[in-house]
Parts: sequence; structure tokens; C-alpha cells
Amino acid sequence: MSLADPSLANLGSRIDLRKATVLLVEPNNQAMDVLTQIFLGFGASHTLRAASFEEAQQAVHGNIVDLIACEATLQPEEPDGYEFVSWLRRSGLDPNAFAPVLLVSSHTSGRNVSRARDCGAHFMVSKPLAPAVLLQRILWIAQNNRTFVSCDVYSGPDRRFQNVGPPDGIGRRHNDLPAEVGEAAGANMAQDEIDSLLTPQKVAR
Amino acid sequence: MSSVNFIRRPNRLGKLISTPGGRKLGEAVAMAESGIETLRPALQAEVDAALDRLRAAAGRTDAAAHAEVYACATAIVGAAGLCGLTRVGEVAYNLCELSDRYIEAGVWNEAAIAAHIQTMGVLRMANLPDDSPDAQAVLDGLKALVRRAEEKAAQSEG
Repeated sequence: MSLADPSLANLGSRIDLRKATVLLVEPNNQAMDVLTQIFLGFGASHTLRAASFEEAQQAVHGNIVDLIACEATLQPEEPDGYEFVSWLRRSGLDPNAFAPVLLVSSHTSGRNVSRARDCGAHFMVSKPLAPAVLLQRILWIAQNNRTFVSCDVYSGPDRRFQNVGPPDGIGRRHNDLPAEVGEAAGANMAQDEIDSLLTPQKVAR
Repeated sequence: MSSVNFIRRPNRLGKLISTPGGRKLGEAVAMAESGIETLRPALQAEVDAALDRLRAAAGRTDAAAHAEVYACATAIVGAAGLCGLTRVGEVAYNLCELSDRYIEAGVWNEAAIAAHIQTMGVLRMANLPDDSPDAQAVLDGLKALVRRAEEKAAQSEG
């Protein structure tokens, strides 16, 4: 994770959610109280509460939200939390369509975790909620501004966490360069030259 | 051929929560935990209410009742571990797994479901500490009961 951005220098030791708008989506009253207490403890002073898919939709239409904590199972006979996140990602609501989403669920089976990943959530957190785990996930999201990916079958944060190369046993594409690397064609670049390629520079107009 | 777009957005959350001030991380967690602690009686009542709904749903045989069993079990998982009923929560999680599997497969084993509900009732009434050997014995008994119920169901299907 990179903390090169100076505005993130305070991250890692303190958390300040006073200016953040947090949307809590939870149909169960007691569970909503738990979420509220946790975010109050984290210093969030502006929380929006939604008990259903429809209320959650209304909340993101009328407010700019900075973080969403959404229960995976909503009211019976209506779309669930996974569907809310899928809808949000393709809603065209800017900037809410890109808001960080934590899905919370009592039943984190492999199937449900896959659904959480595929609907475009950033993380799935299992219940009973542990404040330390939730805080750790929030900090991770804040420190790692993941690129969003949008295509026919998926819209959400880039799901790739590691680059493991081509799958074992499948090999490379026929038009890939060979894995064996030959002799270097020239001298290594100096660090200044590398930095000038990778560091954003102000452009004079 | 479908196209893939990569979109880079400003890190709004990172900038908001890293402004000077705020709370130390340990302090934030402690405050959240003490906030949850104030909900303990309400959470215990929630577990009891969900257990009552669970017993009622288990007595029915329709598909809606099966979904209600799953919903009640998830409600118990969410509350039990936060109010000193960790073992009850563990059994409820197993019931989530089991009922979800049954609903997916279109089968239902009443004896296995009932064993979970009775075990949660025993653990709740006995008020055993989480590390109690008696609580572990109750859980071991549940596993044996469920195994037998599943074997019996498999034999009757075969």
C-alpha cells in the first residue's frame, strides 16, 4: 500500500469520520443499532439509515455518500444487498457509483463470498461484527484506492490482489514474447529518468 | 468483442478520514465496543425472539417456513456473539449452512433442524460459559445427532 499522497499521512494512526457520510443498509433494528454504535465509536457523525433496497436507492439518489455498509440479506421478496451493490455500480450516479462498499453477512459461505466479489463490493465482513475488523477494512479501502473496472459482466473495484502470471498448465498465448529474456539492449536507466517517467508532472500550457 | 474500461477515481474516503484530528485507532475500537456493550440486553432479547420465531417456523412445512428458518438463524448469528452467547451463535451458523444447503438441494431434514433448535435452547437456558466443557459436550452431542439424522434420511431415500 502506498501512502505517498501527503494528504493521507495521518492514516494508520488515527481515523476521522466526522466529515464523512456513511450509509448503513440493514433491515434488522438491533443489527442497525450495532452498526450505528460501531460507526459512532469511529467518530462518524453523519450516518444515513436504510432498511430496504428501496430506501437504500433513495439514499444514494439524494446524498453523496463516502462509505456504505450494507447487509447482504434485505427484506424477503425484494432484491438483496448483492443486487443493491450491482445496481449501484451501474446506476451512473457519480460519485456514489464508485463509493466503497462493505457487505456484512451472518452467512459467509463460499457462494456468498463469490457473490459479494462479483457484485462489486470492496469487502465482505462476517457477523457478529468485530469493530477492529471493520476498522481494518475501512483503513485498507482508504489506503488502497482501487481502480474501477467496467465491462459487460462486471462493474466494481479491480478484484485482482496479486499478479500470479499465467495459470499453471495452460501456458502462454502463442503470440506472447518468450519467457526467456535475452541480453539487455542498453544500459539501465538512471533513477531520475525512471522517476520522470512515473511521477506526475505539471504540464505547461 | 466486449470492451473493458478502467476508471481511476479520487480517493475521497482516504482524504476525509485522514484529516488532522479524529480518534486514535485503539480509542475508536474501544468506543465502538463499549457502544455495543450498551446493547447487550436488547441483543439477548433479539436472540430469544429469533429462537421463538425459529421454533414456530420449524413446525411448518412450506417453502416460506424454510426461508424463515434460514432468516432466523442469520439473525441469531449476528446478535449472539455480541452479547456473550458465542456458542449459541456457532450453532446458529451451522443451522444457516444446513438450511441453505437443504433449500438449494430441495430437501429438508426436520430432525437435523430440530436438533439445532433444541441445542440452542439448552445452551441459552443453561447459560454456560463459552469455554465450559459442558457447552462443548452439548455441541458434540449436536454433531452426533445431526450425523445420525442425515444417515437416516439417506437410508430412507435409498
